Amino acid sequence: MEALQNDKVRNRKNISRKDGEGRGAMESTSFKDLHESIVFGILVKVPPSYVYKNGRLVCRAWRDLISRDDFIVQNFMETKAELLVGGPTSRRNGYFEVKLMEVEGALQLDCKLRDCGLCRMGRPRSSCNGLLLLNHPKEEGLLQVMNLITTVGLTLPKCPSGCRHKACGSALGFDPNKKEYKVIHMYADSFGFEIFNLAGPPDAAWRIIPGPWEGLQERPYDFERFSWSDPISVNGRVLHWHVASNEYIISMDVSEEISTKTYLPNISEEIESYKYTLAELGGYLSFVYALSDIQVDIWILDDCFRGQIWSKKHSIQLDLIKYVTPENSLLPANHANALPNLSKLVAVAGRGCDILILKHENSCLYIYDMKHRVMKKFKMNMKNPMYFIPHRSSLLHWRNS
Amino acid sequence: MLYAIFGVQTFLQRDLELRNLSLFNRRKGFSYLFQKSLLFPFSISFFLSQGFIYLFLLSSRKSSSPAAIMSSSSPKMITLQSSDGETFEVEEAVAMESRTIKHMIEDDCANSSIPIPNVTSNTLTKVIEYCKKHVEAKSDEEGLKSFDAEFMKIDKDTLYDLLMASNYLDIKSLLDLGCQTVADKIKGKNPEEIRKEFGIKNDFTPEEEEEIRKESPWVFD
Repeated sequence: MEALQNDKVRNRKNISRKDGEGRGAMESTSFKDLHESIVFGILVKVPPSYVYKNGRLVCRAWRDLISRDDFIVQNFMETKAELLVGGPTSRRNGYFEVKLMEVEGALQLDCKLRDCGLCRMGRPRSSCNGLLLLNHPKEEGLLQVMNLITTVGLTLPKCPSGCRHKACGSALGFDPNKKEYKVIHMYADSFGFEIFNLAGPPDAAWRIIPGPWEGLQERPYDFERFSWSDPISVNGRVLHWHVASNEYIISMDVSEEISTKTYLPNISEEIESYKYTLAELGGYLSFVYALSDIQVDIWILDDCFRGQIWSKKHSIQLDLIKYVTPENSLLPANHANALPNLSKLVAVAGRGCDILILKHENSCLYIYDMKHRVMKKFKMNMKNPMYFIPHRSSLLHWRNS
Repeated sequence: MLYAIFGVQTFLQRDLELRNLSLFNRRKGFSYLFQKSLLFPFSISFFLSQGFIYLFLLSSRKSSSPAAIMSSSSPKMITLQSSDGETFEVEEAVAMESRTIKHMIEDDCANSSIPIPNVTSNTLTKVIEYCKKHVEAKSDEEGLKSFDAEFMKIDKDTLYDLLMASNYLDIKSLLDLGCQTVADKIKGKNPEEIRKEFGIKNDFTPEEEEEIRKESPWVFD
């Protein structure tokens, strides 16, 4: 601090010596002279995790600025989208580890995996505006909602259906009309959807609304083998469930709370339910279909509730891919690092409008850029990555919008 | 056209002088005096009418300037004056990058030079350099990105001056760029390093600091 101040004094002396009289009074601005609106503009651009852990400890003015509601909202708007990767810890003690993956650069497709700083978490289910829905790590049958950075959280009461949350489809959504967060849970469709409002009173209960089908015979899936999985959330507003059907998926608007069938696009052949996956891409739902070993088609749903128009966005073709070998691979073009068999890849998430992340059976990830047709392999230093949830960090609390 | 008028005027005057001389040479007398007295007001009135014609043309030219701009190829220039008196001439399109200046021009208060009281000439030079580049190379994204990266390689004081200037002049892209540069400096530093970098005093009591540091251990209601 001393050295810095001495430097500043010396600089000022130099200026006045150079220009003689007139300029002596014209000193350059220091950080303290900046207007509060500029300091606000600087701090909102710092990622929420740094702002929370370090920014609040700098001085009182910064601490108060960071706790303001408008700061938190603006800070969230500036954060970049990441992918939350969850898998069981190596010690197999029922806890999960969660890491955050960033994909950078259009052509380089660099990936970085960083720790989120928390251990002993339950299985991550869904993320919305920085809030994470997870299973309770110790007690079966309970769900929790937590902000990943501030670790302020809430445990939800048990579901009326008695679900143990091992094989169900739940998600956290946001209703922009009433500005509240909801947890939507589906275990047995004859029982119905169970919905919990986070902004309600502390002793609130789950509400039950009817399931998507009226009769048991309408179900498209094989009762013996099917279990619900977590839906794809598009911006936290619309949820889409894969129901092992060759014709449609079930969609629900979080604010309306009505489930509808969204019919799948007309592709050139008969759709087989095990060949497609759903992912969120650039704010839209995408339907990724593995036509063969050498071609994968990607379709985008333009509007779920007003026309259900699908458009074919891209076709991944094996012979057109520019494959980028990972830098530190010792064996350049051998079996492990060669282009994968496209039908073995499962789309797990999208990033922005043009990047698709696909998972291979042997737990490697492949990042594919549609604009430039570049594919790159990414080997993660994680034991068994199972869950991939698009995530954007924030300091939001579920009680403020 | 002025030269033509001037030329005609000098020709006529010379003609008159010659006539004068010839008159003088020929004979003195009443007729000479008469002619001379006539000539004198004639030349004066001629000169005055010249002046009036000149002023009329000047005013008409001024009022028809926008039309003249449309037809001419040179862009309109705006003069900016920094706090220490230096003036800078910039193209209108470059000056309009600043919303403050844009409003001034649209509200028609920018006929002579625009004073920018809180920005020194050094800072204004840099601001103009930035705006110029962003107007010229508008569609070249890659080029602009590398220009921005180079442009931000400046010392702290210049950076803060730039931030204040772009805030006053309301140049969103420059303000965002500056804020992002400073934000990148904050990222990854611990609180003590941040205080050192920006010369901020630690005004917490030890109890307050402890309260913040205490990790909220998975607060669950």
